[in-house]
Amino acid sequence: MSTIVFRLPDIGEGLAEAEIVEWLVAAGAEVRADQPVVTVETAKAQVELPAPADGVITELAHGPGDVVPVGSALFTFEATGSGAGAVEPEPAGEPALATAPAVDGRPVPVPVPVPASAAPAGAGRRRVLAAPSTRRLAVEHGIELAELTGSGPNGRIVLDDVRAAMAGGARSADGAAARSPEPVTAQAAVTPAATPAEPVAGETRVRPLRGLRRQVARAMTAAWSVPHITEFREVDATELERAHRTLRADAEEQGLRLTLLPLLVRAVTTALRRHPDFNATLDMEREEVTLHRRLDVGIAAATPDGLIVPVLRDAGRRSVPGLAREIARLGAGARERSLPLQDTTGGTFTISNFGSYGTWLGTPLINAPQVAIAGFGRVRDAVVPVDGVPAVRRVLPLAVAADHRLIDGEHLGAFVNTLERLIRTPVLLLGEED
Amino acid sequence: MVVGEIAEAVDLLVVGGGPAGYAAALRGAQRGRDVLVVDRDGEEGVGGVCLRAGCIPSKALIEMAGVAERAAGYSSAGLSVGERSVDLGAFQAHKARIVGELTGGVRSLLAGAGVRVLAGDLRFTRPDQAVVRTPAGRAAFVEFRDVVIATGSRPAVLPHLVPDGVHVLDSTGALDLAELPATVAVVGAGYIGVELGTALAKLGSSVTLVEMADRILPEIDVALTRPVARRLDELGVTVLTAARAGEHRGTILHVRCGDRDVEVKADVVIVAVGRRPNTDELGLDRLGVTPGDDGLLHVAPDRTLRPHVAAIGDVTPGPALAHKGYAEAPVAVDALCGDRVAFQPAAIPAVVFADPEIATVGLSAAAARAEGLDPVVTTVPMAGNGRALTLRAPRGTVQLVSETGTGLVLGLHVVGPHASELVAEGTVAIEMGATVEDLADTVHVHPTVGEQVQEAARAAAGRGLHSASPARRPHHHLNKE
Repeated sequence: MSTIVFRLPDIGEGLAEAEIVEWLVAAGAEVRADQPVVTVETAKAQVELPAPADGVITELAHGPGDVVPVGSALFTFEATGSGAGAVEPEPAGEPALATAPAVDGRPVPVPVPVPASAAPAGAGRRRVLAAPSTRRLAVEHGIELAELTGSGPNGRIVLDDVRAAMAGGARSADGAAARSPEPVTAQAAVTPAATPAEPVAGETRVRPLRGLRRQVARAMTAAWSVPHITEFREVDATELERAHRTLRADAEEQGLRLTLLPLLVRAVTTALRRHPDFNATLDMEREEVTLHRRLDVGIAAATPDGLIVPVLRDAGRRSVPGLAREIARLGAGARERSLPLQDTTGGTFTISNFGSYGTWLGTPLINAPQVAIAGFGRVRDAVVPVDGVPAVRRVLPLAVAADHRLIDGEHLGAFVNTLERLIRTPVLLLGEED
Repeated sequence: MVVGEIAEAVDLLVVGGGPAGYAAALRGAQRGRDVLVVDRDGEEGVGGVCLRAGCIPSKALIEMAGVAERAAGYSSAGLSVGERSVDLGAFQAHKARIVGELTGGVRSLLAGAGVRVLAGDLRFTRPDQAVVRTPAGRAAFVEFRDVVIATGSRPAVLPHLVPDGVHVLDSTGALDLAELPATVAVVGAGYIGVELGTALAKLGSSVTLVEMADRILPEIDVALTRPVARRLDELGVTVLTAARAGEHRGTILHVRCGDRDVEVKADVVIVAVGRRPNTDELGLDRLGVTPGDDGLLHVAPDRTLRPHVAAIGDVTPGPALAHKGYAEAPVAVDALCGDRVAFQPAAIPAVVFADPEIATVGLSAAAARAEGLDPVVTTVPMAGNGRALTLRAPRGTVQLVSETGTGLVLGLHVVGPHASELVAEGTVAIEMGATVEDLADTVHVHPTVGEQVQEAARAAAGRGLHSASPARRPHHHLNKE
């Protein structure tokens, strides 16, 4: 028998934390090696973490909804078998508890004073040092003291340390901020997770920003620091739609459903080849621009939990049917929150297809550190002058936003001109070079 | 209050008017909630066991007994007081005045805050409803948004020694004695038994303590309890350990002591064998809440059991002490108001009002080692303390547990006069992450017994003025008196 403290492994590049979605077993449960124990959600995906070996789960260190930093204890585990791989055995802390009242009329010892909360997860470590006022502030703001480095004597966490962590919590998800909503004091018993009060109609309610929504919020905060310039066009999409109809009929025979989006991606990648400054990322800390050879185009996808941007790898080298298949796969994965990290990171340009919600025009926000984004609205009938005569044509609204630190209005205009020409005359897409 | 089938809407329902309950009610009022307290005894019940039949009345008795005993002890110093005689009937009136003043104060606080108090036994009927059976036998229905369960605990009962209010008493009955019994047997030498036994012995009863464990106060480190055991012996109290109380027939309590039967003369038997949480007759299942096997409600850190339901005080795990309930109350109410809060004290102090007093907070040396820490224990006797000598109570020790290297204060354990007050210093030190250096360099008033805490800290810091340097192990020898 050995006691193992299972810590949140690094389940992906650059992710500092994960949120506990659900415990799949209760404390006290016997589990087999590799049996899923807990579902955690990172900014990118939901992952089930398995038991490291056969044994008994003795303690769950967090409740559902808690955000835990990589490396912090998730559960304590008494291994009965072998197979404990990359986990470290630790002595198990046994929180002393006051005696239970008499049972069967047997006399009972009086309760003894015990530290109300033993050191979380494993003994041999002192309780985190912090004054009550500091603890209160940390709880209010969902900051886990155990994850902070105290600047006071003996590593005591002082108010300023918590305030600094609160400020850091607003930074983008670069691993700088790792916070948990409830400091989980070691309770001997499994307690029901503290849930915020249910909403009552007409009641003000405070809800912590968690999970994907928080990731989106951080990303948007980062996006907002980018000086945007946005250009709008309404482009004649009559030819594009005609091409789409033809291709769609052909694809259906192959059993493939083809939307307009793969054609728009193709137009974007062609335009990016001709304007490589738009397929770039900007690092202001290093004051460096990276012009990317590959065209990895992100497609913003709405999910019930929030926005996810899966990436079409090497979109410039894929055929239209190939793009369609990949978009379908990524879309399904995004909705199920099952996409691996490589499908949701490292884009070089983003497309927001807000036409799918019926939007006419919008202002897309750049997915920093990228430098540009193209948004497409819904194609509609519009009266436009054709050879000086009003005519009803199919019109596609588009908006392209660019990072003004890198791109001037003139360049943006040129890019949008190219995009317009490719959409207006889609046969040009056949002349695209690799 | 509508009586009948129509439920009255209650914003915040508090079940129980004891320390935890009334503190929760006041906090709720502060938060702008409309609060109803339901207590079995209504307005009369405000203050709970603590104010009416526990902490406060027992202190009144202990104090009076202490005065009697100490006054007698001054004959060698030239003070002669009259023959000791005790009229417990008059004491009851004295006690009632103290209790009345306190409970009246709480009642006016509640009234001033706009908190309503209803008398009756409450049972939950639905996740958001309860029925209150009023003393008049009518049923009142309440429909609540949020509820705080603070129903406290009651004395545990031995099946063969059921309190009858005359010959067999629980702690409440013992404090209501209007006549001093000549012979008393106290079953259970936990803190309640020791406190009551000591007081009655000082007033003149012949007291026998009957304890199942092999020593008195079995939950407390033996080094701390030894002075108390010695004092009980001096007071003529008979202590039977490893003993089980049997039947009480006539004026004889039959006790099985190891392998022999002992007959203990006892006009009155006081049963003090712990307390049980009042969670069994509330209809908690209707509320969607299940107590653990120990009868306790295992709350989350913010003291909630589920949305809209919180529990505090003796019905929750941890020491069954009024100050724990007081501390939990605002946390629970704030949580129900939607705040993110947690009950997370670094330490909860505990006191035994024995003679001498024992007060303890934080970790003992053994507990610190069990947590993987490397403790240093410094022990300073009360004997050298000027104030303790003037109190004619120079017995006991101050034991400071700190961490090797960092000097962090981990625990403070005091036996001696005013220990119950001294321990607060240790509690603050632990909460603030103070070190023995911090305590050593804090100016303490002279002459006070509190100076011994500073002295222990100095010793731990390696610069004891009047005491030895730290022992690497706790040494249990006490000063020679």
